Amino acid sequence: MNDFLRVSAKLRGPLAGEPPRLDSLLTDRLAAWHPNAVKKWEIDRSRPLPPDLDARSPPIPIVKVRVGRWVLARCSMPIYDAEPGTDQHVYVAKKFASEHALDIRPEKRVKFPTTNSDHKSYRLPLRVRAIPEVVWFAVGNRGGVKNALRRVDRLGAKVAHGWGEVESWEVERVERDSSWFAPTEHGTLLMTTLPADMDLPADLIGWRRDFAGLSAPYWHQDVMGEAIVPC
Amino acid sequence: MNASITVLAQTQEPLTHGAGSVGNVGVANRVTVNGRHGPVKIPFISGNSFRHKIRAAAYEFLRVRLGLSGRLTQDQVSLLLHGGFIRKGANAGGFEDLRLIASLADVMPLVNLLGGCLPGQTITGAWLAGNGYPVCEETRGLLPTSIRELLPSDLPTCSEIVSVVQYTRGEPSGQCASDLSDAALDAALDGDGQMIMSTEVINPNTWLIFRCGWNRNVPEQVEGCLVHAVAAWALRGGILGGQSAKGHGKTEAMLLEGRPEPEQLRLMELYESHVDANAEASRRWLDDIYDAKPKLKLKPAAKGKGKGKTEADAEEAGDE
Repeated sequence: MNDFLRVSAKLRGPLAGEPPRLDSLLTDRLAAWHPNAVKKWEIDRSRPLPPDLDARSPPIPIVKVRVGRWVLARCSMPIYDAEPGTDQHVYVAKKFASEHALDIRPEKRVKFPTTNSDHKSYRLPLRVRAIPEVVWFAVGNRGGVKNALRRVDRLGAKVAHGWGEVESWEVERVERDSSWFAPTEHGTLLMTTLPADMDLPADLIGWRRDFAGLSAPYWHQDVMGEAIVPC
Repeated sequence: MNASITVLAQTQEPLTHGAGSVGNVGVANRVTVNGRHGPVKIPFISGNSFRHKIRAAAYEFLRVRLGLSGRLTQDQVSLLLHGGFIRKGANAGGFEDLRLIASLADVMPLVNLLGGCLPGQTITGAWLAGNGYPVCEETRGLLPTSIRELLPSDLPTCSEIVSVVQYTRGEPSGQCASDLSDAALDAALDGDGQMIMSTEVINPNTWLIFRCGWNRNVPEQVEGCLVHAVAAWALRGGILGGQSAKGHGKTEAMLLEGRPEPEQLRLMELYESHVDANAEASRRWLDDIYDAKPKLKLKPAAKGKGKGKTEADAEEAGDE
């Protein structure tokens, strides 16, 4: 049974990068339990998507709708508000541990560049913000969503470095569907990225034209198209 | 199900973990969190740095146990100690060798645990390290629920756990003046003299909490690799941050949450016996993935000659 849902993640620590889309998060989490599912590391950014991607995608407890050539998930973009003054950069650094030169076989002990090539040293910035809560609106099965999110304990980028710790998940039923559009006193507010050529409410507000990913995996060139995005 | 661990470390010495410098003062690494009275910057140890300490401890064990010292290539050291690097060109990727990935748990639990870039494919690590947050008034909300209840009502504030230490570098015209030539002494006396630098440090007797997790279930020997590495790191002084050559960063570390002690010992023994049992396979695996041993490939036999040539023969004969 499908309901109108409000999904929220309360975060314990700061979050790096951006919070994910809810359907991507569920697909990624459930793919781990489906032996035949396409794993994210099987998808190469520079190559076409696997032709059997849809067939091998694990079923997620979020309603999907076909609009033209797109299969769109009924869920909003992540909604969050970073605490003012908490936006900062931390750095991820790497330097080859040349103090271990004795571990390297004698004929391979060479002078190597550290400003380019394989063992280049780097110090890359990573955006980090204190975000108390991330919220998504969706249409789907409450039990299924709650169950799938049970073991998601970190969100965002560089989770293996300790960022984006989730304190708790809450999945509650709401009276109104706010997954794609939310009625407001000023007009209908756009809540997620949608194809620009679909039928849209006449009083739509809070949008701009863009070229963006429309279905998961949102970062792949094959799912990019003319779109309207919330702003 | 693998047990998530929480590491508690009490600093025994000043802890230096810098974010950069302002003038000639090194500033401590800080992150902004939501405190009780709004955003506040607290000093912390990055999970990335802690993760490297654990990786280095695991590498050190393998180096000794497998007798790897002096027989590795730079790429192999980079994989084991830094997680490798993404390649360009023909080995850049596009293919996944599932058999190789599946074999990792047996032949190289370290790479299964912490991940790494092999030639042509990237292995996702299973362990999620945690940032090390100091136990202070502003971080109450960041700490695990089970610990929050045990905290006293009067904790130090984050500004109270940070202080500044000063280093000086003496100039040679002082104690060693008699060892210098006249010209060198004149040059030294013309210089700016003693250099003074200051660095912010986390004070000794500060508690740090690293809350770690898993992103997938792994076999017991892989979990054993983690417990073994954490124990090895803790036994060697639990060094965190930089300036350890000056005596900084020593901590007394323990597992606050995780498996009970007999289970930890069992996992460590399991890991050690697993490494011993798979020693030859592990060494072969390291050589195979980087093709470290030179191989002579037979070229297809030319018609009528009946015998193939090795690449070396072909080069000698001037064949193209």
